[in-house]
Amino acid sequence: MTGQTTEEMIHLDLADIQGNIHRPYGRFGFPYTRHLFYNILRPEAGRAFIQGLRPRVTTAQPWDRDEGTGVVIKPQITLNLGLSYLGMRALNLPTSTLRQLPDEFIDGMHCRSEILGDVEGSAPEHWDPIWRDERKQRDREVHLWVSLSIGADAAGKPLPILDDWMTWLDGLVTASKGGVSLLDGHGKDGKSKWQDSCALMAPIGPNGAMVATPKEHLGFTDGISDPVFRGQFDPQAEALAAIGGGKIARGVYHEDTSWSALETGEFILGQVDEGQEFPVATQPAGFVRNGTFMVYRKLREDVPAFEAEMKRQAALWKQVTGETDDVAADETVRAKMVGRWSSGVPLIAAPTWADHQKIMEEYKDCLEIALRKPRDSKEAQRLAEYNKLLTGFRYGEDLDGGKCPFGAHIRRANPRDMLDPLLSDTVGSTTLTNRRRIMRRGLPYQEEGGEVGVIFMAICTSIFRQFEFIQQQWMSYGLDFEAGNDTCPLIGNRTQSKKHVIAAGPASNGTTFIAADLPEFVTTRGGEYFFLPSLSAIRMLAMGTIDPT
Amino acid sequence: MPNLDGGHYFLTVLAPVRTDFIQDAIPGRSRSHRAQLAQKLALMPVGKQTAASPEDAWPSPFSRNTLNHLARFVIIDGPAFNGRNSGDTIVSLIDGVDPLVPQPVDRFAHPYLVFAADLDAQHVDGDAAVRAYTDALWATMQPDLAIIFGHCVGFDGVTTADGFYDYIRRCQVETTMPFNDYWAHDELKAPPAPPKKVSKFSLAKLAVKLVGWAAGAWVVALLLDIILTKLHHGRVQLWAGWIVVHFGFWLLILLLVVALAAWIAYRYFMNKGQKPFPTAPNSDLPSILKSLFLQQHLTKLAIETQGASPAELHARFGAFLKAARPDDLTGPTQAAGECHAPALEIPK
Repeated sequence: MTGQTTEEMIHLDLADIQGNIHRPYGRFGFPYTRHLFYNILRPEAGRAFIQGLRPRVTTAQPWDRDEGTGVVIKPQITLNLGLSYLGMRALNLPTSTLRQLPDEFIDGMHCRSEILGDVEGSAPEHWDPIWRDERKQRDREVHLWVSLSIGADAAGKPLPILDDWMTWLDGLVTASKGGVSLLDGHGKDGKSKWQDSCALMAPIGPNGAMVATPKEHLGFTDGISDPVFRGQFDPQAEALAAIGGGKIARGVYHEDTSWSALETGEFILGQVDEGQEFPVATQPAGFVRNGTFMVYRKLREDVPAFEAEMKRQAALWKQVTGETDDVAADETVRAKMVGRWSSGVPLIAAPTWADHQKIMEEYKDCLEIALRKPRDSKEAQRLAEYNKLLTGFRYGEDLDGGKCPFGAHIRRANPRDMLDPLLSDTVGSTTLTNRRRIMRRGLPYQEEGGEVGVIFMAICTSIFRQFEFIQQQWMSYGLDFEAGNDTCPLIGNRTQSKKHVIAAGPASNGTTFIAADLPEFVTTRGGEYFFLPSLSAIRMLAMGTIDPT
Repeated sequence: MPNLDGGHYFLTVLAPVRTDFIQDAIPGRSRSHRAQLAQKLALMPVGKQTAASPEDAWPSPFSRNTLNHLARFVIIDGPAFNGRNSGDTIVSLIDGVDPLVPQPVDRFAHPYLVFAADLDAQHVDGDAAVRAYTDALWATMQPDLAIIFGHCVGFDGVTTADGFYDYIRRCQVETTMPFNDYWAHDELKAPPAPPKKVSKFSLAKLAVKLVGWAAGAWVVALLLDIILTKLHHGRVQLWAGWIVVHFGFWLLILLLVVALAAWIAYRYFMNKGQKPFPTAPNSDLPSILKSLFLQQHLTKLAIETQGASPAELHARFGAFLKAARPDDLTGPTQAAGECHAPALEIPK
């Protein structure tokens, strides 16, 4: 319910929580992110290194606006950090803490590759050297993740302060006298010492200035729908964001009253979750409170293969459905893979290309407002209306998948109310999906050899229950979507099935279409599971005293 | 009978595992039946259950018959123990429970081997279905069964299909809650709409409520009578006493009637529960295997003929029907225990 009393409100200690949990920096004016990975050879050097980082860690503290100009007062650069399981061991954490950590976190992403569908082209032997060789040598283990997010100038280049911070970080490494080292091994040749990622830029600002866009390399708009949890925003903003981002209550569906924010414990440890319990992490409770887990994953996108395949499917689409317009066929085939048009408008809101064009015409001011941020409350309201169109939908209004195919990427990633056995056009709740939600963070990357993709990050309190379940059961398998062995048409592997069924609907003139013989478009290049400690836990790590009792 | 449901029989067998030793001449080398049984079960091939199974995986012996959909062995060593019933400290104190005295713990005299199978019982009674199944098992995996049940109590001397059937029936327990994936669609498609008029059930509820109120009022009158007698309140006490005397008998009769009605309702629901659902059409294993086979090859055909002209589609579908023979359960079809259909040659 949206009408919470003040007693029911959750007041999070935002200055104790890392800022990347609350904010996708890319959408807050930080189009660049640099990911750095460190190895800790000596625990005391590792503690000193973390102590060095500690003062500069960015928290989730709200950013005020300048009273005169209305401009948000925010840092020039952000810093966040996370530890892998091996990193916790390298810091000599107590056995009682290490042994109670979740199995999948102890295993690490490399060990979980079969579960994650990282086979064939995505198998660990094809990963970037840093991830491929991670467990082969003690001094190649990835222990600590540090990320810097930063703004861009009018030419689209990162602000120069990044270099100052890199020098400072190098200084910390030097001071460790070999106890901490920065790991190279990024990219195919493994020469790069860090992983850069950057929003796709377009010269659409004032005087042709470069502005970050929400697009990724395959041409889709990314990061539209993220879960909303209690305490994330102020009550008014929470009520608004919960429509589409939260959960749907049981009973007859009403857009204004059915949605509410998810329980905080799904995303932040030490808070009650959707199962009415504290999420399990490890002991002591004070070490995990206000922390969470993060999945870091480098996903390569094969743009030429995708373009060629979309061309082939669009030609077949025209033949089968009788569509005559080239653009409509091409756009429709792409949209039917993802569940959204490349603009981000969901198929549920606009089932046909003509519907989409109508919406684009109606909301064309919103695209511009979204890029430069609203200037007044009227614009903000207009943008909110558009955002509601993008996220505030349910699948009870598309019971046969005629608008949005059951197997489409967004329907798999977040099935919303569609798994409710009593789903109808008026009734349906998200009860079965509330514990399978992840917050997605990340930006596109582009490498010198021409390889492109996205650095994908997922934040949740149980990697096993949330991220891995989505990846294994929904992305790499189709039973919940009446799709047999079919995998996600966009990011799935193709070992068991290469097809995606597009049910008959308004866009296909009532004909079912099967997109068959799909190649792999997205392959994994490596990654790891990290624990994102609270500021209190970072202090404990630096002191080397996790459990003082 | 819940054992039989929707044309499937849900067999549950609990065979006690022997607790004597498998004697060896050398002291200290005797072995446990339970341990050897577990080893035998661990070595049973399970076939290609998933896509991740190795290509050359040995097929499960249960795939040698086409009667069972699922078959499963489990060893149960004992009932779960959830620890002491702690209860409420104050209540325990009043009851005189001494927390230092251990409470009894449930234990089995034997471990039990559970054998559970979901088998076809299309248009036959349950006994005939079990007999056909045990005969099929004895004919196709007798050496395995002899070893497995040889570790169980009372299997000595079982050497024939008759003996095996008798043994299974002796160890059988009723399956009270079967899970059936197939049902007669037409009869169960739509759940009955909630009744609009007042049903017998809500009438009964109303009656129970009325009796409850009447009993409550009578008890109040009784209490009033007792209290007012002590206080010598003449007129009101007379009223209360009158109610107590005149309505007590009828109230007793009414309570008896309600108890009778509750018993009849209980019997009615239990009898309903014993009645099996009708046989689900085409839910026998050969039909399921054929439909899996057809599903995979029809999907392939649909992909290959996307955008084809009506004439070509007609010809290709005709050739498909001829090659796939949808009504012929004997072949071509998918083999039991496999997760993919074999290839199908369709002459063009």
